[in-house]
Parts: sequence; structure tokens; C-alpha cells
Amino acid sequence: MTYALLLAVLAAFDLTLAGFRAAAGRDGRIHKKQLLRGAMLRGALGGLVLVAAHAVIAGVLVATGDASTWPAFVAAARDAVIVFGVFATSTALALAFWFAPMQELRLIPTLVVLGPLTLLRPLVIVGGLAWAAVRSSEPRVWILAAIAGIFMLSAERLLGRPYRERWRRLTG
Amino acid sequence: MDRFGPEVSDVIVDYDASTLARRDVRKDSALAALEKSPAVARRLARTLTTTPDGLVRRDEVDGILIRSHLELQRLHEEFRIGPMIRDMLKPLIDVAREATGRKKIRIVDLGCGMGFIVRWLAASGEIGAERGDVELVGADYNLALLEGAKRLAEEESLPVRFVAANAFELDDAPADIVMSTGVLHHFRGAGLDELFANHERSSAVAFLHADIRPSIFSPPGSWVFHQARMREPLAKFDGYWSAVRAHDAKTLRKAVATSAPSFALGMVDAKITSLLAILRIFQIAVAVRRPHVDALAQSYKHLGRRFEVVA
Repeated sequence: MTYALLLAVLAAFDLTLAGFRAAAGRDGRIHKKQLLRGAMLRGALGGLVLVAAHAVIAGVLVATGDASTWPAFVAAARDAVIVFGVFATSTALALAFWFAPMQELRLIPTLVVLGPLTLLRPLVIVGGLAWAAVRSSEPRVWILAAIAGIFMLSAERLLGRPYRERWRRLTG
Repeated sequence: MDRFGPEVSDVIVDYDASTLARRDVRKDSALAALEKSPAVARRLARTLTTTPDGLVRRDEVDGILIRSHLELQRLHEEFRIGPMIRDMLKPLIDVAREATGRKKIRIVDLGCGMGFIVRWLAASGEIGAERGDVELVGADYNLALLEGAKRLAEEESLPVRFVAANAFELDDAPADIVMSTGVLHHFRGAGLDELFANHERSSAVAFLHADIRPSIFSPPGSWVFHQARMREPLAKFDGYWSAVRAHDAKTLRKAVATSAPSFALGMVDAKITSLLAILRIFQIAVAVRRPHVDALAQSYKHLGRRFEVVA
């Protein structure tokens, strides 16, 4: 259960940032802190919904399995937590520089998180889930890993839908 | 001879230099102009749809440009380009006041696009635009971008004006300070000389041009950012390619010395002088008319080794 909770926290954290990225660059106004905060909140809530949906799917898969299914899910969750945990920790450490006393250091979250780590994110998602799946012989783990991968990779696109309208309006 | 080919956005729009009227662009001409650019540039240009007579469709191009500029704005926001320009501009405004004897200074943003920087400066409330001490004008040739800029400025009631004009030939009054952000590298060879010759002929007392600082870090760094963050394929390529094509301080110094000799040029962040300096991705060319060179040196003295008078 601990690993499941950790995965839930990691998913919500990841989708909070995905919410930010989904809204950023689509609205040309200068004052849009509220818009971006709302986008991040949407991302976080979306993450929680996603986690809940996965919990239900996992419940169904475990219920239809045998005694070895739940331990297989726990082991896979542990493997995924290790990969995603390292990535999230790097992200969180870089984000901490938002509060640095020097202007240049406050660019580190942008330089690290919004650039390279954003580019790496899809690889980390696929890699982490693949790592967890290939180490398991339980097909139900593979199914859940595949579903989680599809949702995590498409989350930013889904979260960006409300902001596309304004983009279109400006485009004419 | 420029060893780099142009960006895609350089060749899919064209204007008559004297009337500023938009000219049709043939797709095959655009492709030919991209011959020296990487193959991806030609691939992007090939995806553009055309009219039955082979012309690039203006509405499609404008849509791409607006989306690209909005995404570029996001990068500028995240890299805090607004505060950087504000901090570098403030001393120039003081020098311009001293040089002109006027309190009200007109700043013209050359190639303003969607006008992010002038809108940001207006919204910051820190350079006196809201009091009328500074007049902010964004100048560009592209009407679609200007229309977007106007709409956004009106939406936030920002004291800034946008005009479809050559920044050096404004109808009412000339600029006291000419500025730009991310524009300089579009001017190559004789074009760069001509740009500074325009400064020389104008009545502007100062200029500020910020652009990506060329370094071993900038092309790969720019590639990563544009791949990771840009949605518009053209923006992904042009953003990266602009880092490759960025002018170094030597090129700018030579162009200013040749074409705008009455200006004293200073460079901010042209050199990587410390580890922290790696984090600053822009360099800024600031210049004043020669009689005010002491004021220029004094104004940026607090930057220490980050600033150097070079020409």
C-alpha cells in the first residue's frame, strides 16, 4: 500500500507540472499567474482522478487473479517508485531553486526542469513502467503498466484542451 | 558570405522594403532559399499548403507565426527576459533624458512581433510608461502579429502602441531608443550593416539589442528547449537555428564600428566570466552616441565584468 501511495503522490506531482506546461505558451497575456495556478491545480486534480482510476483497475485485476497477483503488483510498484522517485527528486531539487537568493540561480528550474527533464519525461515514463513490467511474470501487471503509460503520456495533451481555444482565437 | 542558411520564418514571408506591402511568396522560391539550411527546414517548408498558382498561403503562415510567437513568449517568460531588459533599459532611459533634455522618452521595439517585451515593460509599471514618461511603441511589418499584439495590450489596458512601420521611419516622431529582442541574428552581412546604418542616420540617442549569446552551450541547449517545449514544428527548428546563427560580439562590434561610428557600443554578458554566467543565455548590445560614452560606462558599472565598452 505504501508503494501505491507513493506512486499516487508521484503521479499528482508529475501532472501538476504537466498542467503548467499544458497552459503555458497558449495565452499571450502578461498577467496570467491565476491562469497558470489554475492549470497546475487542474493537473494535480487530474492526477488524483487518474490515480483513482488506476486503483479501481488494479483492484479489478487483483480480484480476478490468484494469491500471487497482489505481491506481483507490490513488487512492480516498488520498481516503478524507484525510477520515478529518482526523476521526481531531481525535479523537486531543481524546482527548489525558485527560492534562491540570486536571480541567475532562479533560472535553474527553467534550465533543468522545463528543458532537459521535460524532454526526458516520456522516456522515463516508458522506461520506468517497462522496467517494472519486464521484472514481473504477471500479465496483469503488464496490462496496468500499459494503461498507466498511455494515460501519463497523453495527460499533457488532455490537460491542454481548454487552453487551445484561446490559442485558436488569437490565431484568427 | 553567410555560412548558415536562413530560418524558415525568414523565407515564408516577404515585404516590399519601401511600401511595407506584403509580397506573395512562391513555395518553390522559399525551398530554394533554404538550400543552405538543414534538411529539416526544407521539410517544414514543404508541408505548407499553396494556392493553385504555387503561392504560400498567407493565412496559414500567419497562424504558424502567431503560435510560434506565443510559444516564444513562454520561453522569454521562463527565462525572465522581461526583467533583464528592464534592468538594462533603465540606465539607457536616463542617458537618453540627459542627451535629449526631455523627460518623455520614446522607445521603439524593432521587429516586436506579438509585442511581448514592450507589453511586459508596460505592465511592469517600472519604467514610467503608465505615467507617460516613457512611450512604448512596437513596430513590425506583419499585420497579423501586430493585430494579436494590439488585442493583448487592449485586454490588459497596457500603455503601449503598435504600428506597422519601419522602426526608423515612424510617421509622428522618431525613436529616442531603438531596441529589439531576439531579432539581431535575422540581419546578416550587408543587412546587419544596413541595420546599424539606419541607427546612425536616425535621431535615436541609444539602442539596446538583446539576442542569444553564442557559445558551445547555446545550440545544444536551444535544441533541447525547443524540442521539449515548442509545439509548433517551425518554432522547434527556427528557435534552435537562431542559436546557431546568433552573432558574436566581434561581428556586432565590427558592424557598429563600420556603420554606426557615432555610437559607442557596450556589451553585457558577451563573455562567460563566471559559472553563474553560463545560466544567462542572452547577450545585450547597448550603445549611446559617443558624447555620452562616460554616462554609458557609469550606468553599467555595477555589472562589473559582465559589461565592457567594446567600440
